[in-house]
Amino acid sequence: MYETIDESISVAGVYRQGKFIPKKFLWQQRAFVITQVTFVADIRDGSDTVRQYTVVASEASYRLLFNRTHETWRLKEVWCE
Amino acid sequence: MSERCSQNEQLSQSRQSIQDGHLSQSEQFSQESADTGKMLHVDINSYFATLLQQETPALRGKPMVVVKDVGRSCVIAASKEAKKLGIQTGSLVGDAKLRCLQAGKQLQIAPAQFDVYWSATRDLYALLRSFSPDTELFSLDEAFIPHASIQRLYPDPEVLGRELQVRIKQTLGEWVTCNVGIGPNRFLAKMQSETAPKGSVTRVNWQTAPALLAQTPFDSVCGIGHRLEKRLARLGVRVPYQINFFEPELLESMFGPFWSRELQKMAVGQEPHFLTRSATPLPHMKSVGRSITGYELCWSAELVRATLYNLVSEVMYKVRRMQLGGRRVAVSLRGDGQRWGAHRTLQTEIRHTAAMFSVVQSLLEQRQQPFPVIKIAVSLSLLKPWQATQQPLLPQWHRQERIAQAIDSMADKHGLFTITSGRLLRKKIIMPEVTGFLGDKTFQFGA
Repeated sequence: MYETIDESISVAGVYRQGKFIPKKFLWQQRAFVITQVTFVADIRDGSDTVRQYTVVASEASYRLLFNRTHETWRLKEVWCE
Repeated sequence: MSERCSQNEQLSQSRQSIQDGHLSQSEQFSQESADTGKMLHVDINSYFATLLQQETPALRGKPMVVVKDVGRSCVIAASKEAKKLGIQTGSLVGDAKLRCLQAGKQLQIAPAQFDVYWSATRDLYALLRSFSPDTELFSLDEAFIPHASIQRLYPDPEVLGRELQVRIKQTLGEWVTCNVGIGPNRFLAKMQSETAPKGSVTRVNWQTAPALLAQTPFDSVCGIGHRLEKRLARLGVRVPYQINFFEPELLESMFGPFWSRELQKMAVGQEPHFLTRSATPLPHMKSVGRSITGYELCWSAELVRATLYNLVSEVMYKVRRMQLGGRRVAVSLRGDGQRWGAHRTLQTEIRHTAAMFSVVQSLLEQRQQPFPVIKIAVSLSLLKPWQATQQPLLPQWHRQERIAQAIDSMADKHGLFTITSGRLLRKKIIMPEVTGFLGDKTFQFGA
């Protein structure tokens, strides 16, 4: 079950072949190294477009939201068994 | 009227092709092969559940079900692993848990993420269209690709099918598998992929079609609903091929002129009207509807009215976005083993939430014996392009139009229901969602 977090985070990544790939994120002063991007979805919220990256870091899944209009990152949810 | 005439023409032509020539069944099958090209049917396996497993590696290989929301009890999608335990779409979560318990496994339950599924469908459609611009999206996770349009690039449809599987994995993820059925028409290609093992590329031709038709139960046959399936079962008919053993006159007396004809077509592997029609894009949608099933029986008339207003708002937003107006308003309620429905056909087209809701309210007043409600549905049909209707002159209508335009522009910018009526104050707003059948694809891709 995904648990809601909805907190602001910092994300570092690389652009490969014109696509952004998140590599690391900083949440509550702890750095999480992303080992896999398992899913990318483009979601519209009114005129805002949000890109949701589901990533695996430290063997857990995280849903990161990038608001493409405001260029902000948030940790939306984390998977908890 | 013209649609009905062309439908009758089609039916009489089809009837002639089978009955007038007194063809034997084998001749009917072989004659079809002469005039039809190949069709590929791509079907993602257990779409909602597979996407969630792709997203969350911890769920892979485990029986899991998707429910509409946290706490809901009806399974809307089951993973491949859950299906092996007999858990199907429509099963109750409690039953699913019990089946898993009996198999010594733990059931994973996750709420649906319709936005994510819709995003994946857009990616899937873009990918398939990159193969062939003639791709027909049939539902959220299914599409037909006519082989003729890419025959020169991929002379062998099986090679194309395998290439599609690889590219779908690259686009949606390595856990996502799909079936590709290849057949002489949409009906047989779909039936082939529905019945083939998961992740396969399989083929049916006119020689093997009778065997497929004789082995496929009606629940895997596109175009046959539960009620028709039950009626056929009462006659001992459980697979399409058995329909061939009935005289056309007898079928007509039992199922009427339309369905007897459709059943005869399916019995010899021909495309039913439903599939042929779905391939033809409509100039505009004929109706827009929305329904919701609640968590539990609702006795509150106020809550039922608020929910109806919520659903009507969504319907009218879509209608306005597609520049349409409609004349027939319908409402139906279900619950506690009872159902009630009513509709009214208006003289002129409407496109405002207030106008439709006032009709819904007056229809509700006709309800004689109120009962607790669990399912609520509304629809607006007899839709017509707004520009083709007579424009109202009343100042009150223009005031409503200005309000609607203001609300719509806010919805476009900040999301639907950013501004809404006080009727929904302190109520949980029901947001739009995509359905598996993707009945509103004209709106989703067009508006």
